Amino acid sequence: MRNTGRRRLELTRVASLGFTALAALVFLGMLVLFGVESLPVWRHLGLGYVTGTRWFFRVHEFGILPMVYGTLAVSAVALLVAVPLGVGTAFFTAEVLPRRARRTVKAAVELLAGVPSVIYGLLGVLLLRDFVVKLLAHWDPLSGDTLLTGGLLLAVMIVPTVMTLADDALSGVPADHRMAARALGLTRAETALQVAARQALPGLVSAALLGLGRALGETIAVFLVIGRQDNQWPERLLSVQPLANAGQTLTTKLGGSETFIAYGDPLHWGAIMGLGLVLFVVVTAVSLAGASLVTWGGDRA
Amino acid sequence: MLDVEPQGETLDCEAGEPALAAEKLSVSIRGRLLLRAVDLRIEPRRVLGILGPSGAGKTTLLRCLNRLSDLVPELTVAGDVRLHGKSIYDRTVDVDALRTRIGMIFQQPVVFPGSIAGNVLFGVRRTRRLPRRAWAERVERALREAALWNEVKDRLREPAARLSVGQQQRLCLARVLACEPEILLLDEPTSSLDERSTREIEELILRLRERHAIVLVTHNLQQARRVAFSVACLGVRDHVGELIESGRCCDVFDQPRTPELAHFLSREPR
Amino acid sequence: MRKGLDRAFTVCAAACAAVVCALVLGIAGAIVWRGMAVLDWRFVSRLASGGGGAGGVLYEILGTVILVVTALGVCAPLAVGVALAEAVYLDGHENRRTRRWLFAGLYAANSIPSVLLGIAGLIVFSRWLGWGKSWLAGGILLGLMILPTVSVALIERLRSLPRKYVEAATGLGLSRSQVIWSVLLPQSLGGLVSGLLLGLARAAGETAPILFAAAVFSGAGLPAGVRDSPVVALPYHIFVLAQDSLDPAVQDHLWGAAAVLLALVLALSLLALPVRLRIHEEAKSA
Repeated sequence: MRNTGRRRLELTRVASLGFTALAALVFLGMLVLFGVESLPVWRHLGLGYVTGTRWFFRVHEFGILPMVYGTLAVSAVALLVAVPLGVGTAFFTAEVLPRRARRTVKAAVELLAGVPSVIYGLLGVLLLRDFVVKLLAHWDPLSGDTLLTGGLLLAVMIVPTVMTLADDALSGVPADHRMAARALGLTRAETALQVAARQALPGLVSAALLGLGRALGETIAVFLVIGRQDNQWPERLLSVQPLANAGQTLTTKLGGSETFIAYGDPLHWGAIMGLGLVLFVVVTAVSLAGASLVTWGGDRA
Repeated sequence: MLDVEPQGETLDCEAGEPALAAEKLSVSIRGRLLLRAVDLRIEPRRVLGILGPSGAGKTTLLRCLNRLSDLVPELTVAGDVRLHGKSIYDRTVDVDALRTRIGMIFQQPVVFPGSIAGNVLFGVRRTRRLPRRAWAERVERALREAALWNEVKDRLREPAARLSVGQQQRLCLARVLACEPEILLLDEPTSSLDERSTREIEELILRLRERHAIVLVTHNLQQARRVAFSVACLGVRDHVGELIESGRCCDVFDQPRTPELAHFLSREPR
Repeated sequence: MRKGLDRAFTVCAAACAAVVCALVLGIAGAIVWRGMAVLDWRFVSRLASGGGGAGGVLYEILGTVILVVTALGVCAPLAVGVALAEAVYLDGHENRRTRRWLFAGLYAANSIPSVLLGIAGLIVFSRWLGWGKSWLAGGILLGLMILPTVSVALIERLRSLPRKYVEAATGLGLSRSQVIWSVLLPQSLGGLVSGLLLGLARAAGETAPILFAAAVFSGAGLPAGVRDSPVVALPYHIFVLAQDSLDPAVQDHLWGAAAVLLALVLALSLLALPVRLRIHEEAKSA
C-alpha cells in the first residue's frame, strides 16, 4: 500500500517504524550487553576461559568446560529420546491416522507444550528423581539429581515441539505423491519412509534443530533436578557414569545465586556474562540453522 | 507375461472372458450413496471407456478397481470386483501386489523428485525387487513402450521435473509399465494436455492395447470414439451415480437407448 | 519381508504415539489429581504462611496477574508497530531484504533463552536504573519476551486479509493511516487478540525473566510505586519451594500452586480458541 497522498508526517508510520527500531535495538543491545560486560574475563583469561575445567570463583579461577559438557550431555540425552519419539509420533499422525484423529492428537500434544517449565521442574522433582535413582542403580548415584534426570526431563519438554514440527513437515508433502506411490504397489511404510520422509527431510531436521535450541536454552526445569554441582568433568566422556552424577549447565549456572553475588566483582561478573554470551551465540546459531532449513526446503518445492 | 508369482491364477484368457469385472459395485461416503450397483466387464486387449459428466463418480469407480479407495477410510464399498474370477476384496488378497498387476495413471502427472530413470524404476525396484543389473534394460523397455525412449535416451540421469507435461504423463506411464501390469486404469490422462500430446497418448493407448486390458475414464466423447472398443456411461440419478448404458461403442453412440444419454450425445460437438 | 517392515513401521509409530499420549495424560492427570486435593476457595484467597509453604496463594495470583497485565500493555503497541512495519510500511519488492532481516531477527529473538532476558533486566532495571526489584521491570521483560511470537501472529493475519477491503477504502479516498486504523487493524483484531492470549499464557508461567529483577519469595504484597516494589508470583513461588520439598505438607501446597498456575495458563490459552476458530472459518469461506 503506497501513500500516494500528501507528504504529511504520518504519525502511525513514524510510531510503527520507531517501535520496530526500538525492538531491534533491544535485542541487538542484549547481545552487545553480554559481549561488553564479559570483556574482563576475555582480557584476563582469554582462551583459558573456554578451555578451562575448573570454576572456583573465590580464587578467580574460571573455566567453562564442565558447564559446556553439562549442557551438551543434557541436550544429547534429550535429543536421543525426544527426536525418535517425536518423529515416530509424527509418522503415526501424518501417515497412519485419519484426519480427525490427527487433529485431536495434535491438539493434545500442543497442550503439553503450553505447560510452564517450572511445573515440569516440579514434576521432575517429585516424580522423576526416584525413578532415575532406580534406573541408575548400577552406577551408584548419590541422589536423583543427575545429568540424566535433567536430560530426560528436557526430552519430555521438547517432544511436543519436535512432534508438531515433524508432523507439519510430513503433512506438507502433497497427497497425490503418496497416492501415486501406493498405486504403484508400495506399502504404507515404504511410502512414508521413501516418499514422504525423503521430501520432508529438511523440515524433519529443522524440527530436531529447533527442539535442540529449546533444550539448550531451558533453565528452570533443569535447575531443579540437576544437582547444580560445579567442576564435574568426566574422566571418560562417552560413558554413562558421568550422567549419574550431579552436574551444571550453562543455563543452570546463570540462573543460580552466583549471578547475584558476582555483580560487585568485575572479573567474576565478566565470567558470568561470558557464560551468557556463549549461550546466546550457540542458541541463536542453532535456531537460525533450523529456521533456514524450513524456508530453504520450502523454496525448493 | 509376468515374471513373478501372481496371486490367484494366471490364465491365458480367451477374448470374451473378462480380466476384471465389477459386480453391483456401490460406494458410499459416511452413509451417503455415491455410486449405485455398477457392473463392468474389462476384457483383455480391449479398451473400455468410462464416460460421464463430472460428479458422476468416474474417478471413485476407477479407484475401487485397484483398491486405492482403501486409502480413504470414510468410503464404504459394497458389491464386488473380480480379477480373473477371484474377488480383490477378499481378505487373503495382497493389496500391494494387486496394485502392481493393475496400474493406474492419474489426471495430473505425479513426478517424484529424482532422475528420469529413477522415476521409471521407482515402483518396480521395490515391488519386484529387481536386481541392479536388470535396471537399464527395464528402463529402456518401459520407455520404449511408453513412446518416450527416443526423446530422453540421452538424458536419463537428468531431473524428471524438466520434462514437459505431456512427457511427464508418458513418464508416469513408463513407470507403471515397468511393473508389467496386466491391466491399466487411465484416469482422464489427457485432460491436462494440449491437442498434440493428447493425440500422442491416444495413439499410445491403441498400441498398448495389444498387451494390456485398458480402462479409460474420459469426459471427451470423441476420444472415446477414437480409442474405446466398448463404453460404460455413468450418469447422475437422484444425486447418485449410476450406470446408464453400456455396450460396444458404435451401438451406444449411434443408437442410444436412454433419454439422458441421447441428450448428452446431442450436446457434444460433432 | 516388505510386509514385515510395513507392520513393524506401524507398530513402532503407534508405540511412539502411545508413549506421548501417555505422557500428556499422565502429566495432566497427576496435576489435576494431586492438585485438586488441595485446591479450594480458601487456597486461592488466603495468603501464604508458615514460611511460604502453607496457607494460600492469593498474593501470588495477584502478582502474576499484575505481571501479565503489564506485559500486555508493553507488548501490544510494540507488536502492532512491528507488524504494521512488516506488512504495510516495508511492503513491496524493494524492501524484501529488510523484511527478511526482520523475520530472521524475530526468529532469533524468539529463541533467546529467557534466563538471559532476566539477567539483562537485572543489569538495566535493577542496577542502571536503580529500581532494585520491581514489578514493572518484570512486566516489561515478559512483554519483550513474547513480542516476537505476537508480532509474527499479527503479521500473518495482516497478510492474509483479503485485498478487496483495502482497495475499496483506498478507492474512497482514505489515506494510508486511515485505511490502517479503519480497515486493517479492526479486521486483524482477532489475530492480535489470539496471539496476545497465547503469548500471555506463556508469560504467566515463566520464571527466569522475573527471577532477578522482579520477584521475591515473601514479604511483598501489592506493589506501591515502581522502585523497590517487587511482587510475589506463582512461578517463582513454586520454583523456590520446589528446591526444598521434603516436607509432605509443603508438597501438597506445591501441587495446589501448580494446579492454580496451570489453570491460569490453560484459561488464557482456551480463551484464544474461539477466536482462532473464527479466523479459520473466515479463511475457509473467503
